[in-house]
Amino acid sequence: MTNLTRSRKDISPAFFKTIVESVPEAIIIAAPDGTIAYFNPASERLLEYTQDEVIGRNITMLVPPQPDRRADVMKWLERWAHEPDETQSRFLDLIAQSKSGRQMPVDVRVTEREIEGERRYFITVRDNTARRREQASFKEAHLKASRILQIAEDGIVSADAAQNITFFNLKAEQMFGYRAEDVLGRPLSMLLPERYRHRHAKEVEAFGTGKQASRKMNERGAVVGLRKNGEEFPMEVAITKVTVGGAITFTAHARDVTRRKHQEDLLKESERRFRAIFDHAFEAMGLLSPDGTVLEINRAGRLMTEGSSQLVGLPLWDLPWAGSDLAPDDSARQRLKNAIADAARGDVVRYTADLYRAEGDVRKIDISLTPVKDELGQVVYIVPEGRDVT
Amino acid sequence: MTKITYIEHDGTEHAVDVPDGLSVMEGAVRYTIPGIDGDCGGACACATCHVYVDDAWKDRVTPMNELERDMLDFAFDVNDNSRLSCQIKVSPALEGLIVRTPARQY
Repeated sequence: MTNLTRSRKDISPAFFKTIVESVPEAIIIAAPDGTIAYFNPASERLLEYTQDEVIGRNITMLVPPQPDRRADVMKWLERWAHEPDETQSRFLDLIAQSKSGRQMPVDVRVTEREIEGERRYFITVRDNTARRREQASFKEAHLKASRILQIAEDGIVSADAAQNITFFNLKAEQMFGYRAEDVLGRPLSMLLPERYRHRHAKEVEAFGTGKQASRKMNERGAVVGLRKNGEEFPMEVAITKVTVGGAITFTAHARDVTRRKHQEDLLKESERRFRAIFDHAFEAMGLLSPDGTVLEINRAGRLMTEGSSQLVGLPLWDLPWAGSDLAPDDSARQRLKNAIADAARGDVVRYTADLYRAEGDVRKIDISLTPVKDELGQVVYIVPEGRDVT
Repeated sequence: MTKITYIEHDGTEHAVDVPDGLSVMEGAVRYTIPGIDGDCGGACACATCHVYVDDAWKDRVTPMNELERDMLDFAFDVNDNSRLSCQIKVSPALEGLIVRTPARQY
């Protein structure tokens, strides 16, 4: 056997000494009352004391009492010495202080043994500063990210590969009426009406294997959510996927658009009503921009101009009064143009124009131009009306 | 559900409904309330869920056992109101409980 591969019983005391003095781990041996009996070179490097400065003195010099914390080193050394290795100080750091005053959280492990007939604590000490700092910044980053998701204004619901819910934020609780505890681990589809569930599950599955990382779910029509109380509601949903550690997470970002949809419906209804009045009015009526461009023209108006399809966008005076004209010469057209300019300045203009029809008869048209102003008094529209008063 | 108000060291208040049966620490984690870490996951093996229980509630929360008292050795700025929030079980009797988080947990 070579020197490096012999069994323990054959190793010389010098070999052991070399090991203890060479390991990078700080090793301290202390008596049950805390008196330091041994201090290896790694301890000297970590705590900046030479062994001569500490041997025979109490270990509390290395772990001095803290003003804001009552952890007592001797109490805990004794306690940990009788605990299994894996639970000792796992989450607990003592604060050591080096000779120069540097304080550091230390991971302390201890066993109690007899050596030369005396009870001794065999202690290893490791500077935990970097590890705790990393842990703290990881915890802070994690807290920040989860808090952003938790209090987001969108309902955020995550699910695993099996489409079971793994995260349900506060807005989602409010939107769906469930508590996170009620839905975690249950199928995502419970948040949709029965009739959509099958198709939805297939879509999520397809999204999972597709190349896009995020997609709006409304592209294929409205998405309907189902609240705990059975009520259905319109949602706007985007879905994202993230694969971490080989496991996919789907996340739905949902917005309850009940109110917006209701407002849209009201607006549509209002538009329908005004359109009905406008289009079914007996009088020719329209809407012009202040420069005279036709924005809207009603059915009676189209009849008067004999129904050319493309009237919107033309100046009123250029409308093809098909087969007829305002006058044989250009003066009537010019008069209408001037009247519109007057209305654009804010005047209500009213006059009677003659419409010469192709068949030869002359129709008298009562024309009025009413300016519509905004809150600042600016003319934004002109409402032209025409009535046959022949 | 029991209403609990967590007050951060800077005064930010979080009034939330915590499901009964959870610990006060778990309630904070559920709502991602800053200032309570719970490193050991509620095993009373660390001191990172240290809170100060409001005076009015001090004697109404579940009493402290020996292990918790020991673990508080590792908390910072411990006083008579100090508790490890993982050791306080939420129940309807605690409706309105107020706890404050310390300046630091580690």
